[in-house]
Amino acid sequence: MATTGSRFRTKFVLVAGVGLVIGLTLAALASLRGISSLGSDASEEIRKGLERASREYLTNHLEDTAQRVEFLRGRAGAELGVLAAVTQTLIDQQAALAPLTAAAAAAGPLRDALVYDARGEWSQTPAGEPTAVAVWGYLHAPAAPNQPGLRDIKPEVRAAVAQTALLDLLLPAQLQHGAEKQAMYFIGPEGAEYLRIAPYADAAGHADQLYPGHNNSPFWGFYFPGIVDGWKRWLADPARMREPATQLTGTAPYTDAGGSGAIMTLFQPVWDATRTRFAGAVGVDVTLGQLIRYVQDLRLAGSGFAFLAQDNGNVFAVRDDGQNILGLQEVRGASGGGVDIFQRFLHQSRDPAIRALALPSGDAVDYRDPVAIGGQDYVVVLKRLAPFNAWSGSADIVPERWTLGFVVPAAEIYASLHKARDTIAASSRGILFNQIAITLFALAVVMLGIFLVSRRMTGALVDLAAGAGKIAQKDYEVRVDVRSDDEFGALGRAFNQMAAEIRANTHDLERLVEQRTAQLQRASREIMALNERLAQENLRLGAELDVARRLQLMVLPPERELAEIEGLDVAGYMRPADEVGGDYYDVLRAGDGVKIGIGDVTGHGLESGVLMLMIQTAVRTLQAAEERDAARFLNIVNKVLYQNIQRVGLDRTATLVLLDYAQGVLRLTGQHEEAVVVRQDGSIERIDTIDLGMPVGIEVDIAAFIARTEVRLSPGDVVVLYTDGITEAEDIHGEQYGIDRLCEVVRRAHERPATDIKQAIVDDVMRFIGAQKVFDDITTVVIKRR
Amino acid sequence: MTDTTTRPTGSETDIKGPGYRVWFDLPARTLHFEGVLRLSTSEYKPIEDLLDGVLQASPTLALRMTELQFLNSSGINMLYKFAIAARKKGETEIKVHGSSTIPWQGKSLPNLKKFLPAIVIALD
Repeated sequence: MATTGSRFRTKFVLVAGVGLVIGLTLAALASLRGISSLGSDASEEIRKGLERASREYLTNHLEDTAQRVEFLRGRAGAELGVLAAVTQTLIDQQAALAPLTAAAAAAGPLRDALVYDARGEWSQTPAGEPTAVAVWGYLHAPAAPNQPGLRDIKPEVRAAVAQTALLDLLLPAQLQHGAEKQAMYFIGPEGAEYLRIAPYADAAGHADQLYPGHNNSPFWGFYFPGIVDGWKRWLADPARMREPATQLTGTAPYTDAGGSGAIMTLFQPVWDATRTRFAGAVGVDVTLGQLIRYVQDLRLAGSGFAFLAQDNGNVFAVRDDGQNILGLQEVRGASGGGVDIFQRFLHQSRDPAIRALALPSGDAVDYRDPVAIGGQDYVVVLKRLAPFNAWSGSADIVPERWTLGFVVPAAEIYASLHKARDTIAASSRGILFNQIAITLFALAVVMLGIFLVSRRMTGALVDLAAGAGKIAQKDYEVRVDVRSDDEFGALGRAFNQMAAEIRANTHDLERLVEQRTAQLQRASREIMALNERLAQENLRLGAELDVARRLQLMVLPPERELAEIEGLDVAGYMRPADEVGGDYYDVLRAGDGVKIGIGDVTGHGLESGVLMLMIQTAVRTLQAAEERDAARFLNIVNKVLYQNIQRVGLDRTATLVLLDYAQGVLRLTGQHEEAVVVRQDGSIERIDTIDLGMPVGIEVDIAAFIARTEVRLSPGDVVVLYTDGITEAEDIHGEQYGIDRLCEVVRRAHERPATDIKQAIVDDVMRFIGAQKVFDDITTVVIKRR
Repeated sequence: MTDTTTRPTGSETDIKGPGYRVWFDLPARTLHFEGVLRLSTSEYKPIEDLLDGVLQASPTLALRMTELQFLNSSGINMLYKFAIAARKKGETEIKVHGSSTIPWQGKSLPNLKKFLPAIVIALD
């Protein structure tokens, strides 16, 4: 009995525990969901903020760098502007300054003591002068026959040299101060292209080594083809002529022949006083080292880098690892006229993304985010610098804009975002673990509470169950000791009260049983007497049923008669039920045909059997009277039955179908069950007889409802007639045999003789009925055309 | 004859026996036939009386057979006689609800129309 209590307790604890687990789980899920959405919101905000901040930083940095680059480039330009302005003044004020220039040309430190070099066939000032002045061979007069190895400088060239003697004061000073410069120089106009250059160097000697053939070629065309023509075109542009600063012209960066690294040359042309003729140009070789170093030294995030490119995509400043990432390939050997130009083009990169990278066309900072380079995402930021006049190789002077680019790995920009996300995920996991721990702890505490409370409750139940068990064993003296104030206490008191009442009743009951037993014995004696009378009655009824059964079977056609029928193989079967059911069938020879009838009288017992006899007699009589009209035949049978039923006072009717067979045609009249036709090939037809008549013996005249149908029979065709005792036969489960089973058994047996088919039907029906009662007569007639 | 299983019980308008029940729903004027009826001719007397009484009370009547799984030939005979009685009375409005899936109904209910042309037979 103790198990009852523990089972209840187990269930109680289980229900409470499951409810608790569900509640806690739902609460944990809800908070997790909150944390997760909070985390994703926070990372999104961080991402946006980071992106904004990093863009702002990159933009500012890029713009600063651009300004810095322009400043570095512009400072040299400004210094060149000073030189150009002084030179232009010397030309413009040539007449007024004539005494000064003459004096300067003659003054010791400023005097240009040009010496002809017979080996080089040029003239150059000796070392120690503030500037080197080189006068190329073709600026000399032809050699005098009497002075072999000595040529005089053309007088107009010598005059031109003297005119710029004052620049000896300016050039060295300017070179030493300001921007980092390789050299500053002046070159005269066509026909007087002498070179005045600071610092002093063996300019002509270097040129001989580096540029063979220079000494007999006009300077501008040899070193800077097209540049003077470009400048001269500006003569037609008054705005530009008014603004000397706009005439600053730069070459593309190139490697210095003298080994000073990357440089670029800035020129500014000067003009004659009337501004109609080109009067030479001042130039400065700017060392790009500082600029390039500056670009190379830029550190962006972890491994980001900067680069500087020309309009044509030639990258002339980039760190080595940056060059590697950009996939730039150096093209050596290309020469822009007299100077060697850097050749590292973006569009010749090994990387398709870089090859496709278009430089910006506007002034704004241009973001390309992301650019997949070598399988990694980069943020590329581009900005175009201010335009300047550029001469690059042999082409004309065109405006050129350098592009400054930043390339930063996206992962480094968003590194802090990833870190923030990791932190959020880690803290979410922490919260999850805490949540689980709290849930488990709460579960443990509450389960312990339930366990303790349930022990008290189930203890009372166990006592009650034990008490009830004793009562079941007829121990009515049992009482339980449940004294709590709650419902269990009330239950215990009620139990004790009931046990007391049962005990009292039990004693009364014994007395009652004695009285009842005496009464029952009296009743039993009466029943015995009654039973005796009933047995006699049963005997009478049994005799009556026996008579009915005999009557019914007596009038059936004997096998001998059936065997005599020509053209048809006929077999009939009837098994009356315990209470005969009034089934009828008959097969009569009639001239050259056969008349077959089958029917079923309603109800059971002697009365049904008698009516069946009447049908049999009426049919036989009309057949003997040679009634040929099938409809009239049936109507007369009906009328005879009706009148007899009225006279005798029977409460019975019957179904009846009459069949006439002659020469392969079977005609059916009257309403009964369906006729099943199995053709020789096994196909089945069912002939409904509902509309061929109506129940007989219920109305005096049924002529209006009688109709006829016919079936042609070929040899081997089988027709099966039956009563509802077959189709409505029930098995032990109350299921009816039905017409489908009948059709199936006939189809299986149709090739055998009629007797075998009949036996197959009977066997199948009886097997189906099994142990169930046979409710009704079982009748079938099998007709097979021979 | 100790077999008492087919003996009906209940009131005159609610006849019950083992496996069957025939009862009259007065507000709907519908006579319900339910279960399996396999009585002998004489045992149908109470049902016959019920049918007769209901018909005499009012010419409008419905018979619901959709729950009647089986009716033996004596029972069918009783229905035929009821139809004839209704025809003789004239001016009746009788509707029979049946089910075409129950074999006996498809076979026998159409006959009611022959005895009582005015009857309405609804098979579902």
